Amino acid sequence: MIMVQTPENNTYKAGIDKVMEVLQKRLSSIDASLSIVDIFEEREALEQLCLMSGGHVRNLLLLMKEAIKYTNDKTISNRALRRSISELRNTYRNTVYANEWEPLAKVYHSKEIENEQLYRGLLFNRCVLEYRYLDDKGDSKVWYDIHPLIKGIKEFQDAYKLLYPESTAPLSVNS
Amino acid sequence: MGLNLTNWDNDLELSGDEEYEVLVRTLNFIEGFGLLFIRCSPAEGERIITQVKEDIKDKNIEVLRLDKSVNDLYEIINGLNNRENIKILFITGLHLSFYEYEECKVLAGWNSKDIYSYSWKGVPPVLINLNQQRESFRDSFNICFVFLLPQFAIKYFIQRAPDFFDWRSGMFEFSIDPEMLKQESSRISASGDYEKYITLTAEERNKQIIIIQYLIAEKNQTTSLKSELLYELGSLYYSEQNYDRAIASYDQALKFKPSVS
Repeated sequence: MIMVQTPENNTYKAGIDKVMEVLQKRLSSIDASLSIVDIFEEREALEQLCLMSGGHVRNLLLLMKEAIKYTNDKTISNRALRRSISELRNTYRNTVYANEWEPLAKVYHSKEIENEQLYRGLLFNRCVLEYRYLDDKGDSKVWYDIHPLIKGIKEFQDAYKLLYPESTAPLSVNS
Repeated sequence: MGLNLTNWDNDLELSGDEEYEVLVRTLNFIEGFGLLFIRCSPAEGERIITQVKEDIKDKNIEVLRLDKSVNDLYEIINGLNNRENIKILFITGLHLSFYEYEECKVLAGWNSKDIYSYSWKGVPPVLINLNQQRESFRDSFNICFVFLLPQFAIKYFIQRAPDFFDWRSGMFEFSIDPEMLKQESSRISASGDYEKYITLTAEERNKQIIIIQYLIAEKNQTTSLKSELLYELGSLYYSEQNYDRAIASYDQALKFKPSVS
């Protein structure tokens, strides 16, 4: 996967740029004069598309295809993109079994997977994604995250809040 | 580490009319081979087919209504009389091929711990065949296929024919009308009868369990009807001596409506 976020859940700009480049190449193969930025209502929407793909190129193109499906003119609206995201999210909702939400919450929290069949299954069906980067010493580091679409699923959020209540409690006014 | 949700993490749903408009646009747009999936109830599916036939006049539209379990969909389509002329083919009733498989209940359910112990032998052959024949479908048929399926069957596709499902050009969802949902749920709850459940065959019972699970999972479902349906679900499991699931269903029923008797 192309790393679009850091293990600290921050956007990783170099990765986002790379994903945009993939989209631009695909678009240029149809019409070299078009810029990928211009066919979206807002640049932020395009960045969200890159983020929501998890850096998984097949997902990226599927999201793009779906967004075009919901588009009637030359610009992909935020609404069309949001609908396309919802639709792919539904596929993930249907992929995850009831007993897997908790393991997914653990992966989101620890950025690691356990050496168990269940986690391998989640990796296999792309609910968990693997990322690599080179650290300061040039060593290859591997980490894991849930597919970003899963964050929006209520069952996941419930499991996460139950496991890590301290990190999801609303901030008090005085803190 | 918080979840830091943004608006992009919220689902956006379209109205049935909007979703239908997109469906028609997609059908008009696709030339040649295509795979579309529509999640809907059987009644809603028939309504959609009639409407599409009205709205798309310049493409030859046919409907393949499967009324029993099938193993090889490719052969059935290959044998259709006017196959060469079909542009859009609606396929209904494929889920009837799933009911005899124990696994379908687990997939449809809200709890599934033992799924990994299921072997591929327990998967409906029609799904294995579809998954393996993906390229043949594309290369042999110049048709846009539209599968109309209930929720559990879509889930079955995702799990057991993932390669085939991955080639989709679109997935459309039509929720069941709230009034119909209420009627259907009340009818099942009112006609529920343990004496009747124990006379059912395994396949009939699977079918009933799946219908109830489908109604429970519908997002417009009320908690009171959900509770009554869970009670029926518990009785169905009880009638097949699946006591763990029966108890779990009764527990859920109580959770939604503590006063249920």
